[in-house]
Amino acid sequence: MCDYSGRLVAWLDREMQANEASEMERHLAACAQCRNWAAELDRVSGAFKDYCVALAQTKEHRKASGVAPIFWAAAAAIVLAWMFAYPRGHVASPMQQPSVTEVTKTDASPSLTVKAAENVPAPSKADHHPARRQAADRTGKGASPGLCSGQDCAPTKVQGQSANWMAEEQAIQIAIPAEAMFPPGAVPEGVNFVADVSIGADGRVEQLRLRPRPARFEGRTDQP
Amino acid sequence: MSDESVPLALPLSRFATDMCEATNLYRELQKPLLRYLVCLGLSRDEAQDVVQDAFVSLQRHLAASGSKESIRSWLYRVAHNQARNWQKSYGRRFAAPLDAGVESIADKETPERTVLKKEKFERLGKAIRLLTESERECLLLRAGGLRYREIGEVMGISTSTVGDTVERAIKKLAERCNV
Repeated sequence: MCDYSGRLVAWLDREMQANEASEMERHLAACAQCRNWAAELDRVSGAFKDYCVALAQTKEHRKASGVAPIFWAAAAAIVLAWMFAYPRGHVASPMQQPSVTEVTKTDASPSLTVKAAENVPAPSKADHHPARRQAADRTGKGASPGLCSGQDCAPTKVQGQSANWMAEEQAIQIAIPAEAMFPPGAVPEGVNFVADVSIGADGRVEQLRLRPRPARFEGRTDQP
Repeated sequence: MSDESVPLALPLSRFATDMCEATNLYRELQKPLLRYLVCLGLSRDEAQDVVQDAFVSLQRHLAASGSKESIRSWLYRVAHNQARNWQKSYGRRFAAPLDAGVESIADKETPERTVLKKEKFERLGKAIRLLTESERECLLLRAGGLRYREIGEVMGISTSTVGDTVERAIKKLAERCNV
């Protein structure tokens, strides 16, 4: 190796002064060994750059390929979890549909009531009479939301809500003998009364209704 | 009111010039900087974070009327130092930069060329592992297009030392792997 071989990389990188570079070029034109060595170094430099580019691409590729399996695994886990949570036998049956409809109706009823109130004709002065309003509140009829405002509307709404609540909850039945309420002979034999009691939020009995019902003849058989 | 008490606002034209310059630098240097950091041993995400931080620092540097001389080497130095801090803070070291195997080879090439290239990269990878840390970093910065003077500024060594280091590293690679 001649003395110029130690500066071939600087010449390849164009890091030499102009006069030094021209001197190196003259030497390379004359020295085949340095020329071959310079070509070898140039190849190594190019290979190193290619290696860096390929390494960066490899890391990018690994990142991209590393994300995809995680994504698909997560998607599969979600699907499996859904299948376990909702097995095929648990598909919503037609029997469940009405309950959803009821809820929708219940939710929609206030807005419907309000809309209906917009079409209600202007109330007459008689509607503001306290006695008539109390009667309307008790019966739940004739009391339109457009006629009352603020706290006056509350009893009507509570009554409606309690009626819904009574319909949803299981009724509590208390058996009271007819003789305890009525004089002897006033009630025909074999007839009972069922009392429907509506109890308000404050514990007060709001409504009491007696319904006659034929009593069961216990111990009575068709055969003598 | 005295003139000294009034802070001078940054002229809009100068601000626009700085922004334009930073944008051009970003377009020019973002990919080489990213590649340099990845080859230095950072993951792709870490390298992107470091590059972003480096360009934020560049914005602040330009806004603070910092020197625009050798801005490329300044940017590489900032990225280099941030990468060092990043790895120190996470208890890691620049473990074997360029050490990861190269798997990604252009799909358009023929199978024979792909195999040959893979073998060449394997030989080169083995040779790179035998280089010193400074030799690797010099070669990486050189592959990123930096001049010897800029490499010296990034690494804090003289230009002649960079020349010697690069010369020695390339010769080592050429001797150890016949590419």
